[in-house]
Amino acid sequence: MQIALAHSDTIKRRAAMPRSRRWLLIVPALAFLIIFFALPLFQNAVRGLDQQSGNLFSNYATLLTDDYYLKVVVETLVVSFNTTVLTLLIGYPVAYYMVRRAGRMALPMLFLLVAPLLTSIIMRTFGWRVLFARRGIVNEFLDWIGLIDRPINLLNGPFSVYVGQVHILVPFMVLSIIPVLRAVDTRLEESARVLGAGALSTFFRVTLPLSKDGIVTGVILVFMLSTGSFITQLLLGNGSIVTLPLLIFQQFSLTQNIGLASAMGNVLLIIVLTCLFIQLRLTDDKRGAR
Amino acid sequence: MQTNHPASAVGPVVSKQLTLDGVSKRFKGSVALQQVCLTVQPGELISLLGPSGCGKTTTLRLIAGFDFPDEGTVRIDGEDISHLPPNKRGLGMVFQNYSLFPHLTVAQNIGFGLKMANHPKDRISSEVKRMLDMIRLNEYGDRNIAQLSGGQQQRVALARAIVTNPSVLLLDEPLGALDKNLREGMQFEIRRLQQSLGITSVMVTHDQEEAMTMSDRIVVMSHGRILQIGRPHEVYDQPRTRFVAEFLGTANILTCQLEQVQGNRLDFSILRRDGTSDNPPVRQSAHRLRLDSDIVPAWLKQGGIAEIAIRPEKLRLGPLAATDAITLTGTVQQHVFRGSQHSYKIEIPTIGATLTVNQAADSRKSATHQPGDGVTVSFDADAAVLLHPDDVAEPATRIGNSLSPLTQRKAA
Repeated sequence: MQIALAHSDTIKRRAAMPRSRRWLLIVPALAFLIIFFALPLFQNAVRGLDQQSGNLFSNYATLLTDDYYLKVVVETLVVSFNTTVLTLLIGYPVAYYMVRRAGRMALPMLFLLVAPLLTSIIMRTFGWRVLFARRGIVNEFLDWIGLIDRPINLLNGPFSVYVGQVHILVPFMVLSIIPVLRAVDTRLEESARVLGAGALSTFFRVTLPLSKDGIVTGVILVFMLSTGSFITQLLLGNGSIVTLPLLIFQQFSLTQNIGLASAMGNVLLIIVLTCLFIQLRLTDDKRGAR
Repeated sequence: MQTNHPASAVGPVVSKQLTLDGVSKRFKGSVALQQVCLTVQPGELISLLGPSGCGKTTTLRLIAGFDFPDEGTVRIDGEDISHLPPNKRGLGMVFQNYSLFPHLTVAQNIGFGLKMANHPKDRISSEVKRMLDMIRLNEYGDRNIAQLSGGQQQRVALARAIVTNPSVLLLDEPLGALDKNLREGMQFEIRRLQQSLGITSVMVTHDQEEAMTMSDRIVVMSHGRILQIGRPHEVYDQPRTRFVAEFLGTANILTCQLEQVQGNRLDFSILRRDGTSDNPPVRQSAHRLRLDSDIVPAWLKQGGIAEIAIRPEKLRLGPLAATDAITLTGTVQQHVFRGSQHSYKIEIPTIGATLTVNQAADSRKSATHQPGDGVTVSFDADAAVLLHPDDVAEPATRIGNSLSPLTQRKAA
């Protein structure tokens, strides 16, 4: 009886939309993805291959064997790693404060956190150039409190690059951690306290493990954004730190070595995909445990 | 501090006494607790009972150390712990939603407290195993919390709380999240465990049945004050105020005027309520009620008005033989069959009130009455309880205006 009913149901649905034509519904979305994502990626993959010389993979060989390019790949990873760690160290306490201590100030704080995202990265980065200039506010201030005699060079070095990167990426970290931290039941912390755990022990044994999901998401997000950023390196580093995106930019606009630039883009893509894969594995594990 | 952390988690439990001495707490200007005094005897289970916002949870949090009192002290065996952080108090606590750590296994959850106390590993695992045996979850040690049912989680939470051999066990609505059948089973199980271990316990609940089933004594709270402390049957049979009478079970409230005092006898006349129940009952009815009282309460003056409570199951349908029995006549308005009893709403025109009457359901003996039937309702005078007009336990703080609620009611 039920089978018969279900059967007649399918027949009815078939009448409304024949199975043979149902795939038409996904065509717009599919077309969009193919034209704007799959094709460019494919094109880039083809561009990265060297059609002139005999070795198709000569661009990749250059990237992964040439000392200079290898150093750039490593530097990209190192800069992104350091940026991520710094962002986490700054972002977690901010997120914790906003969730647990800010109370009514949480919303204004959230606005202050998100507001910078409304202005362009270039504007924000140039802001640091003004602050860090030879006779900028920072130097003037340090001079005024007597910490330095003459202006120090804050710009065009790793310091300003990291400051710029962390400044731009901290909101992403905080925004990733906040919802997870908010979902952590404070009564879990209270039960840990009653069971004899001190405040620090409670944080490291209960709060931190339970906010792992947010940390993983934030870390991966910041790491990916950091590996892909070149404006900060360009405007604040002025060539002192060369990462893959910066090099790609230079290869495209200055040297016009499109093949090598494409290969670098693909290497970057693989790095980012690896990160995503790791994130999925880590957070999936977590979900299974719950 | 050592005294709070018994070195041994096994062996005989030393029951401890918990004392709250004049504890007050304010939150942002509003008073959450006022001068609460309470002594929980060693091995006793006390329930804090009251509606939400009555201060019962605040009291528990002050004992646990999540909040600190503005005034007064919390003591365990005489030692002042009012301002110790929760982890230095050596307590056990079961939360309403169990609060088990979702990132740890069952065994890790139970062993958490022992780990925090730096017990050696083999010791922890043997204690955890003993606890798992006790709560009959031997095979579940390596499972995740999410794989357990509500009742199993409840038992793990209990095991986690008592494995450290706490001086006082705090239960915050421990059965609130369980369904009814399971809850009743757990009530007896927790009670049995608590009694066999002799752990001094404080339970917060808003379920009066749970409080009656599990407690040695019940503390009824309202608006940050203790209204009455007593054994379950004392609080039920001798409620001190109208609030207690109505919060614990159902109560019929009659308004009476004191006619005269003869020795230890108080003669009341039952007042009649006119129109809506909001109106003050001013007109006298023909009914008289004579109560025996050891002492005439200071607040009760000749001609003064008092409220009297009678439990629905102490009212009878039909006349009574006793000479001082009060007999009223009325009409059945509503009849509900509750399995173990019939519950009637009976309108009594002579006192302008509707009384609730519960009769044990036994179809062999009594016929049921239908709405519209005229019936006689009677009760023995000693079934009536004279209620204190003030909702406050310590009249000393309010002695000057202890009659004010009545005068206000009169004036209105």
